[in-house]
Amino acid sequence: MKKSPSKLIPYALLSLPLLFLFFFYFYPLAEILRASLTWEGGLQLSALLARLAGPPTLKVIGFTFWQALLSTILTLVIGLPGAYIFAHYDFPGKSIFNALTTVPFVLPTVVVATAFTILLGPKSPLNEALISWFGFSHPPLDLRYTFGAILLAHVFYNYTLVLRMVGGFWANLDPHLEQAARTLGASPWQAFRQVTLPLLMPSLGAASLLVFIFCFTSFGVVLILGGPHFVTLEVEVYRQTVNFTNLPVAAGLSLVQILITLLLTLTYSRLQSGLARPLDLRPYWSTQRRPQTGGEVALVMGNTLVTLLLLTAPLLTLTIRSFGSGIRYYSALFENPRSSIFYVPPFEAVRNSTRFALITMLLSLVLGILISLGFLQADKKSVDNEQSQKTWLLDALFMLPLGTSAVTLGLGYLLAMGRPPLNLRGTPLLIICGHTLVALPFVMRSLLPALKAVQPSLREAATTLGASPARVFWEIDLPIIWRALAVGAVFAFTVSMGEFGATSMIARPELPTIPIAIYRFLSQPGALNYGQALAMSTILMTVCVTGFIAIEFLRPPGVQSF
Amino acid sequence: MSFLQLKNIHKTYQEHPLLCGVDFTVEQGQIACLLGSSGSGKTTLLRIIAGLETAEKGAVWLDGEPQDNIPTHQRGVVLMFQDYALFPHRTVAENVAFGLRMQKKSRQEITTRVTEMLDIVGLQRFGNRDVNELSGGERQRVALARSLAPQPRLLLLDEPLGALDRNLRERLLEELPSILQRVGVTTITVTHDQEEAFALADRVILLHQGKVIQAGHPETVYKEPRTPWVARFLGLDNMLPATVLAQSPPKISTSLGTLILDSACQLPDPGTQGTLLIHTWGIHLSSTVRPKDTPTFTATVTQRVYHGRNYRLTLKLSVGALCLTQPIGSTPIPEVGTSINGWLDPDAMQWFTETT
Repeated sequence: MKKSPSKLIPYALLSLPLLFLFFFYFYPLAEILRASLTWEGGLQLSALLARLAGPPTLKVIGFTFWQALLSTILTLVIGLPGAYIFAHYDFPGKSIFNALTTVPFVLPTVVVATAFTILLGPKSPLNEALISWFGFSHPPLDLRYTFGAILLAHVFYNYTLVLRMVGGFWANLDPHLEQAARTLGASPWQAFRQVTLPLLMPSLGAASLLVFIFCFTSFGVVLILGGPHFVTLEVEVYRQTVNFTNLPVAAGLSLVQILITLLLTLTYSRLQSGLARPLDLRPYWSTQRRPQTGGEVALVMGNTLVTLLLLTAPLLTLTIRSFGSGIRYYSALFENPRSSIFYVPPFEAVRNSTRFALITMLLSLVLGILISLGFLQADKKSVDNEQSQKTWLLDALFMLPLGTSAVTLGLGYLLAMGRPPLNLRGTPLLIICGHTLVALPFVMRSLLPALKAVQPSLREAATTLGASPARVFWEIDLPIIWRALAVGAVFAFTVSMGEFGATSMIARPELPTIPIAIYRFLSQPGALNYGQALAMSTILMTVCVTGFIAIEFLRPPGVQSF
Repeated sequence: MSFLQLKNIHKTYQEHPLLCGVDFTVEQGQIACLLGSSGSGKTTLLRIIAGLETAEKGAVWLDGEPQDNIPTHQRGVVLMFQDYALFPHRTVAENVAFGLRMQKKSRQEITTRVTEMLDIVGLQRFGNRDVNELSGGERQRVALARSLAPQPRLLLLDEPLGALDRNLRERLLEELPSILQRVGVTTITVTHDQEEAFALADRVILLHQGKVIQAGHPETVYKEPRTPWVARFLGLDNMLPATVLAQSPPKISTSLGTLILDSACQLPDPGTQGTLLIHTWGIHLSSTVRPKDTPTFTATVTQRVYHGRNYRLTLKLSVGALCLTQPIGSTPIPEVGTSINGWLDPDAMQWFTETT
């Protein structure tokens, strides 16, 4: 029999997404590489060294590592007891508690940073309490612009990673393993040390590395909470670009950043594959029980309370303070005074963001569906290993933007998109493409597993009953994956609403998005500006939390959110 | 020309040859059963007929037309999957209606036909049920109704009873052929269970090492297996190495001594090594009443396994062993360790020139 032309279908489906990836990811990154190596008209490696050599750069790199390391350790220390409890105990309200711990993860950095400026600043609830109890004349505590503030915000963000990754894995570990060790004469500590810990290691390693990567590339938090003293690679790239317009140095720093994150991401995927060790994993309910002794109850309750305090205090304070002058801060958003830092009423930012987010959502859904269908077709055609290797590579390719810092992406766009062949500088299209690139991995993570989970026999049964390929997609795939599709859509929407790093590099002043507007308000003196930052942060937080609740609600049971 | 014709089908799976020149035919209205051990490529063969997979070589002809370039959805060949593949997002009635909707039947026609189909499989009031709440047997019936509804030219059933428990299996084993005959659809079913094959089919096709090794009416295949492999696959296990002594009268030497076979039996040259099959129905446990000139034996009972309706006995002879089933009630079943005498019916013996 003849070879069918259907072998070409995967490539046809993937061509558009691949073109998109090429023009809006690889091309800008190549421009960064070129800019960082250009010296007096030629390309030289020494150019990079000449730009970066010297104590300031080393100090920045050193500090970036140091803060990421400390943040990771701190997150582990605070997160591991939570993971233990998550894995071993069942208690009333546990699922709501679990959902709550994930909320920070979906919040834009600008919102979190703003919330921490209040919580740690002179007008924090803690300071007010201290003043009223002990009669201090000034607020005794101002932790804004300190190292501690950065660390605390990073723990706030990444706590849920440790809880979900380590706790989730631990919860599915067969308790018989540890029990077998006990019957063989191991003490509880020995059983943990010899059996449980080695089995947990891959998930511990993966979680730590992921936290490290996120802290290493953290931008908004450090920029806003670190003040002028604490500068990471990301912040330095931003400063070199926006404050000093020294693009070659920015490009050089970006290159360093790209290389380090690439190395870390590769290590991470190696560790992830280690998680796939053949273990007889148990459904979680067989490994968990209600806390029984007084000690256990105290442990569970104590941990829950501390975690809730850590996670909700910043957000509650933010919301309450945004109403500190009634609705004055909110109504100010609709005004456009002559001395305004914008050319438009601030509320325009909300409209811009919403518009960008909607288009990003559509674009990333279309691309995401094309990619997922392409992968599915390619997998179907391949029985031999060679081709599934190919889809593995493609998968990794489309996931790359997830490991690339947004500021780097923004810099790449500045360098690449200001002239032909793609002269898009300052157009909304550029912002939308950037957001789509960042959102696409989330959409794929949601769509691809859902499509793969559709039993192939369902499609085949429909085909033998007379349905054409398009009809099969419409009648079988779409109705089964619509939840995953909706989850992907909400993800794309919230990611776009909150995106700060890339937008801060490429947005035009008259087209601000919500995060950009918040940052500009924060950089200006005056209570009204600060108040408007709070109001806008609260609006953005509400949008994201709503999106998150929608995701939790829509997510098919048993599917993790990331 | 036969209704369905498979010509020299070849297919490799993960670089190993799976089907190496499969040929067979099925007549209109027939219920054929593909029988073979797991991994023999039965399911792949069904998928090739349905057009879900492509053969590397060979052709499928249906009703006088080659099917090579006809996509699955235009073949009119419905495959019922082993896991039934019921659409989880649709009700029972919607599942059954699917193929009819693809044929763009009118709403009225669809409703009538769905009701009729659910009636045939005995699920009259199940139309609005969620398919995820059905029991295994109910799911199987819905899958069958869905497959029959669009009146396929050819129905393919992949292990139709494989996922069911024993009781249900036996009941459906009786129902299924009557439903298929009532509808009158040409059917190919696949199974690894010979009992199922014999109960369902009016033609069995045995697949071994990528080829059709024997095809025919179930009773013929059972009585006259073509090779020792077929005999063993059908559960016939009394096979002894044997050597030809003379061709006329047919006489062979075995561990049971010299045996004279039925005079119609064609044997190769004296001295040829081969295998002798003794059907269990030819082993008798009484030495007192026996036809003249039948070979006798003396043996010890070494194993006695209760199988519900009968006992399975293993007898140890001076050299070799025999197995037989004894129905309960007729004669007392000998205990393990007792020594017994018996005789063998020459009609129940079959010679294979292949050694085992």
